[in-house]
Amino acid sequence: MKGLFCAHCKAKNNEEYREVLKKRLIRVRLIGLAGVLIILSAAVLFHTVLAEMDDYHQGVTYGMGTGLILGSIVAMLRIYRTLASEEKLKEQRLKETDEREVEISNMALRQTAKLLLAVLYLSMVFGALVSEELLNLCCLLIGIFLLSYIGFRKYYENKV
Amino acid sequence: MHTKIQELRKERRITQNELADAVNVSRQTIISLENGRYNASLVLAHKIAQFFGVTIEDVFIFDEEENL
Repeated sequence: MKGLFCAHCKAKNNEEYREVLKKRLIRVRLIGLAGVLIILSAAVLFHTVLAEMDDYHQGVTYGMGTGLILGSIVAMLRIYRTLASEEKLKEQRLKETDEREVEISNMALRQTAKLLLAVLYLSMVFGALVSEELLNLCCLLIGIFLLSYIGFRKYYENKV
Repeated sequence: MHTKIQELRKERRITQNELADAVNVSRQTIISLENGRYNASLVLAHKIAQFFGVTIEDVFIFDEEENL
């Protein structure tokens, strides 16, 4: 998943990158906190208003919260480890700022987007034979995908 | 596009790591530039030329169809 969730920063040296990581640490903590809140609110809701909810849906909700907490813990540990060593800081900074790395990530994302769209179209065509809900869901997702592409294109046309 | 990075680097006895450090990219990027697998951005081309004290055209050789 290298580069996928990286906010390609423009830090020119280790000191600037250290500041970027400190800000990122705050976001990661907030994500962990969101996980805790999901678990706590789910626990309250599943014991009161949503008491009849089946085990599968309860498991998915708790799993989402746990995933966010574990993900944020792993991300925090990685950031602390990077901050502790100048060598790691440089290595990580280059991974995020190196223009070839950024280009590789962008190319991979473009291909992934095309594949995702193709899979959605195929699911829509064959899904229509099986279930109307699947057809509607695929239509909705393709619509969101294309509309967000048009939206972001317009946004960047004015920015670049 | 071809580059003369390797020639210039060897003339001046500079390692790929040293060049990478100087222009703030990874060593792999220098390798890809030298092999012609990756085309540098204008900013990186400028930095590399500046590092060697030459013009961009002295480092990067454009193919016939890339010229006006």
